[in-house]
Amino acid sequence: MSAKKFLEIWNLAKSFPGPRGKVPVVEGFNLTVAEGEIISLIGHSGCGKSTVLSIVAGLTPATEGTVIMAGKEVTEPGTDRGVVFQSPCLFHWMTALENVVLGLEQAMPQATRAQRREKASYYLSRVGLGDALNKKPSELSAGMRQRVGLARAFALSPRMLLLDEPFGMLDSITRCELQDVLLQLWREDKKTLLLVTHDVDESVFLSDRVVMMTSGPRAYVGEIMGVSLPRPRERHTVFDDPRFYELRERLIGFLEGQADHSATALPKAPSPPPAAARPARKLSAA
Amino acid sequence: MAFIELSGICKGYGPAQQRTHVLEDVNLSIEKGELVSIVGYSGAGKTTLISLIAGLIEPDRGTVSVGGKPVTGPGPERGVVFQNYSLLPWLSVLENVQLAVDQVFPQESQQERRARATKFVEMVNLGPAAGKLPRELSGGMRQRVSVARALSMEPEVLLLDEPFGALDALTRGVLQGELQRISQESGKTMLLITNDVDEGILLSDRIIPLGAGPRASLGPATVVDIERPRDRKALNHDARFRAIRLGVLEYLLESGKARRAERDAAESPPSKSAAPSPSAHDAASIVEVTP
Repeated sequence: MSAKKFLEIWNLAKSFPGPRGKVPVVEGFNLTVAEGEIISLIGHSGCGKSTVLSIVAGLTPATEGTVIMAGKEVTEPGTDRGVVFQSPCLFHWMTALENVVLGLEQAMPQATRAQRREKASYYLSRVGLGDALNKKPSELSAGMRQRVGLARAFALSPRMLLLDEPFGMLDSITRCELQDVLLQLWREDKKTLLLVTHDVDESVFLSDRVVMMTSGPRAYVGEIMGVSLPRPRERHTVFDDPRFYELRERLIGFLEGQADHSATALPKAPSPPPAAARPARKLSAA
Repeated sequence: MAFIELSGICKGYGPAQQRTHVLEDVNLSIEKGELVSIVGYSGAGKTTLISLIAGLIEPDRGTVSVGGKPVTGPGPERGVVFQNYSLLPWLSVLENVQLAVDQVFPQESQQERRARATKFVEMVNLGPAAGKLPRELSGGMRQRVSVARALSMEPEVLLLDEPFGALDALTRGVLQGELQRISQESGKTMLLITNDVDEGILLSDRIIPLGAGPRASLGPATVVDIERPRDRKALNHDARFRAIRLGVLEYLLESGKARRAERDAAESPPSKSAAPSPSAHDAASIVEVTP
């Protein structure tokens, strides 16, 4: 296994049973991710983004194809992959600290109680909750609860984090704050991140590459856009950079094209031509 | 005096001992025909602000006036569009709109009222769906009905409370385009509440950030000096758009950071000395909500 091929997804397909036979959601999905990369999967609702993520997490079996992470085939969930959902699923009777410690009891069984608490409070302070360790979820805002979710995920030290619209329930300003928190955590821990989102700005701001999925059924990788904006990325420099807006526009263009496509030609038998058939666009930042 | 005038508004909720102060010293003037948007965190008090103008709630302090008259309750001259469409499920699109028309124009004949309702259903491009029930409509179509209903009352001002917040990005884009058209055609005074900075810039003459709560107040207003009609994609290449976007967003993020720092400072010493705020209205201890 080379670092360049940390995660490999080969010819992935997934179909679900429907009233009139199998419904193919994803088909011919291929992607290779390097270690430490931040990759966004973007596409319209229902295109199968979360299905791909769920297969990589080992929560859903693939119908066809293979997922290989760090040289090993993925067949079930494991502590090497952390998952962050839209809602952080915290236990409401436990404090923020206890919620993070709980995960560590599984991941660090041989550590002492004090060590686990120390690690948990370290990660909570890194997400800006150093003063809220003993708060219950009900005393925290939605944004703060998701900070706990991020702290818990990073504290478990997985090799890769899978984030399924992690900030989708937050208002757009709180979302910016959490994106900064996520980047900060990544800067120090350098996990490989696979992020499902439908927020164009979010995907450009965070990612090294944005993977654009076609609209389902039979969704596949339509285009991959490299984001070579320099890191560390600060919002005020990125949002002032014309390249950011070029990338943003290219993404919006792709999504709009997919919306037209899915509206006019819904169930088409053969898969449309792959990305190479699309006109190559000049893109200075890519 | 401006058409809509809020001065020195304070508003909180809860009993005096543990009152949550939502808005503090909010001042706002909107001229007739102006479209102003207010952008802020969810929970900052945006809906409180619009409810005060709509006359659904009263301020603790300060005054609200529309058209030179103090606001004492809701009225048909102020139309409101909420995020959840609040349509009557057993009435068709046309009937939902006509319900409002019947209330506001009782002196008109049945025919005139029907024509009025139809006109507004068509204005929001729902002509072909006039006979449908709300449950047969998508979220975007339902919100169109809600906009048609508010406009059909011929209000002097339209108050829009996160009207597109519940819609997916594509539908939102379409409805923003329609709102832009309606606003230009009708020249109505509008106040748009949103958490989407781009939406605020796209649509308005002026954009104003509402700082993080509690005790939220309005930040500096920015005039959106970009010619109309504005195109979402073309805006990407407009340096003015980028500058406004960055300015508003940074103001909001800074205000959120400042509020968090205040809260941490108030909480870190284990013996909580009820930190007296210089502008507190009452000496009672205060329970703060997190932004």
